[in-house]
Amino acid sequence: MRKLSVLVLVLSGLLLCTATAQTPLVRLAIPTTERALTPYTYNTGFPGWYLLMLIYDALMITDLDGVPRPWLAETVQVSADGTTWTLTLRQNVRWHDGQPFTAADVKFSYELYQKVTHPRFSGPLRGVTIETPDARTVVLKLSAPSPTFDLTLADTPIVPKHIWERAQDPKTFENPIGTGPYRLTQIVPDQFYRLEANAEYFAGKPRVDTLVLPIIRDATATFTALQAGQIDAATRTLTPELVAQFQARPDIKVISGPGFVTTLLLFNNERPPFNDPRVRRVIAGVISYAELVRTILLGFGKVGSPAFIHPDSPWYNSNLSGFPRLTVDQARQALEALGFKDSNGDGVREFPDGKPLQFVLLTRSGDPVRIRTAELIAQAVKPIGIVFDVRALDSDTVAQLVWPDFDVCKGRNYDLAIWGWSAPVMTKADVRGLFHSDCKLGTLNVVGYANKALDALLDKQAQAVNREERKRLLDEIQKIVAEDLPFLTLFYPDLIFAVRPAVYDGWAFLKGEGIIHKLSFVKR
Amino acid sequence: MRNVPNVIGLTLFGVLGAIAIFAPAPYDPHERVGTPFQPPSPQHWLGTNDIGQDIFSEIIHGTRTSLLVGVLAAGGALLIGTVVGVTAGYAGGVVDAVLMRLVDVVLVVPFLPLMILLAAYLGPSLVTVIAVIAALTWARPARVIRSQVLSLKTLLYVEAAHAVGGGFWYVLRRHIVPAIVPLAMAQLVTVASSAILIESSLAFLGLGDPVQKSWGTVLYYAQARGAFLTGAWLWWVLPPGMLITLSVLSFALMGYALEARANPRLRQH
Repeated sequence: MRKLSVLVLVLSGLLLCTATAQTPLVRLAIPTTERALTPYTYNTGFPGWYLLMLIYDALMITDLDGVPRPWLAETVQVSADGTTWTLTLRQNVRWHDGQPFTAADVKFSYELYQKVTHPRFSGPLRGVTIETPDARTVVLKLSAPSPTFDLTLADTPIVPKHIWERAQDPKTFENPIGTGPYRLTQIVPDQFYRLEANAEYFAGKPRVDTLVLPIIRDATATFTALQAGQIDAATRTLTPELVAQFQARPDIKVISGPGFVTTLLLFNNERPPFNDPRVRRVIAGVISYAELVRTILLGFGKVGSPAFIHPDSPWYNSNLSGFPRLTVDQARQALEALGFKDSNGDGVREFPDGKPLQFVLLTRSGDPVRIRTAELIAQAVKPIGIVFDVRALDSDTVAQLVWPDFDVCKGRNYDLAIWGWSAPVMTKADVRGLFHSDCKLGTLNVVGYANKALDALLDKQAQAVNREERKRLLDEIQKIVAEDLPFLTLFYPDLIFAVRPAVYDGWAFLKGEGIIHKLSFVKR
Repeated sequence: MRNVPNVIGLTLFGVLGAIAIFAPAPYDPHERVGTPFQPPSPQHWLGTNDIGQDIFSEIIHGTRTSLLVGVLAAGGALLIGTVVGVTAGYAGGVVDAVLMRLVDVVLVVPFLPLMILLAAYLGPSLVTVIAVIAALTWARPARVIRSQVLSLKTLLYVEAAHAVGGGFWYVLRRHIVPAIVPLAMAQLVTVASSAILIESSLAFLGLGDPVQKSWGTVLYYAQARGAFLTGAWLWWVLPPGMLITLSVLSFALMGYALEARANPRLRQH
């Protein structure tokens, strides 16, 4: 038996632990309704799930570096083969109604998600059996080792058995009793939510007594309200062009940090010439990633890694050498050598059969940052004799061409596209989804990339017995991907938030995910 | 004195037309010529946009797109409108009834929502925008032209031409078409001004072609990149807005003057 962690969140050294005074009220604007804010009724991944976790707790919690630590559990132990996880629960934890929290609640919750399908919580719990030898011990048996199961333990909220076993239909059940730092005391539909601090919280009374979450749909209205002092913070992120103006104000503080959302250039790996990694490397070599970040994000972002994984992710291989760098002349020579010549002298190269190297670069019309990115990339490849025609289509049409019905097995119909994956893909480092050639496993492999040698490594890392073994395999995988470049990870936009520090300044930045999460409110 | 609006309208149109044709822009509007989000300076009279393109040059080149859309969409609408109006008026009977009910339908269709739907469905491109505008604005010219044809048809000299054996095409060419040209010109100008407004609205909503430089796309990027929250609206939003107003004004003034000439009832004595 190896101890995953026996430490109880020794984080305080990292953080600003100045203010111990209580803040009476923080008004935090959210962009849309989250319905009843229970595990089956909340609406959005961000901020919905993070708000849900103010009311509910999970067995583990990710610390500010994104590494899971015990939370409702006191200790988490994994067997040597990686399939048996034994958790000892914390004592004296109570539900908001005063009932004690026990192992029966854990068993009930996990089996509920297995029985009643939930888009987020059900999948990772498939094939897991739950045993409760006593009221404080939970034994989870997995059908195969899963090195990211601790992330599942940190992701899945526990609901009270004594209340939810009465629920007729869990999908519409609206009782908000949890073990979390806040109790939900009022919902005015489409207007606001009111959360009151749980004074009996096991990790100490939260630092803000009352949280009011007004719903403000429009971005301009949100930031006007912040400037006017009508709200104290917003879950909506600030765009780079507004940072200077907000930083100049003494009453507003701008908090920024790495974000795990990606912006990618997809090559259709099944269509010539993008089926040839040498062509992909030439294109990768003439794009200036630093200039993209400087021009489009005004510096508020990180240059992409050739193998997708963000440099601030615990899974990042820091020995990667980055994208290939080519001058225009070197790129031209490389294309000549590959047989792409400009035989009619019109400035555009042709395939050996005479077809010009002219392709459509798809992007979503509603997203100005991506349209601009596409324009800059088209400019970058023009001097080497390749034409990218930027075509902005509405987002559903782009999705249907790139990822028909969200099913990679249905193929793809595009040359090039600007694309992006949301933060959870990075948090889990879902490399098998991104790169596996079997469309049943490579569920995010929208470029149609296939590399048999890599497939074996991808299967191995998915069933590694522990984080260390998985990290070693991921390092190898990243090396291969950085060579093959099935798609280009252009940049990672930073997450930028604006708050009124005079009202509350206890915000903590969780790497890649931002400041809206439990650790911004509980004593750390 | 009553020529003054016409002169103002023609002058404005002449100036805008010259800008569209010669495009006297200091920079290539697709070239990045400075750091992004610069305020106005001697180098960049209206500053730079979100990727460092010169806003002044963008607006100059945008004139081309906006006028092109206005003229082409209006031309298309007028072509459909004339064919439908002349056919309905001249043929009468069932044909007239069917065509006029179609006109009624197009006239009462909730205009902007349908426009947005069509633009989104067909995908953003200049051709789509022109086609969509033409397809939704031909009904009014059709109406006006039909009533003119109806009254022409009963005139003595037209009936006389029929009586001496003039066929449909002969009468159409000799008597009907020349009589409706002035009216059609007035309609062309009216439709053109609304086409420019519609193109700008669609582009502003992000339903135009965002890669094409037009007044509407300049406004779209200004809105999307926070110009309304910072002081940038002064040089990023106001100038294209003024140009849209001026072009619509010039068309409206020309339209009044033409209509006053073409429509005897509006002729002042």
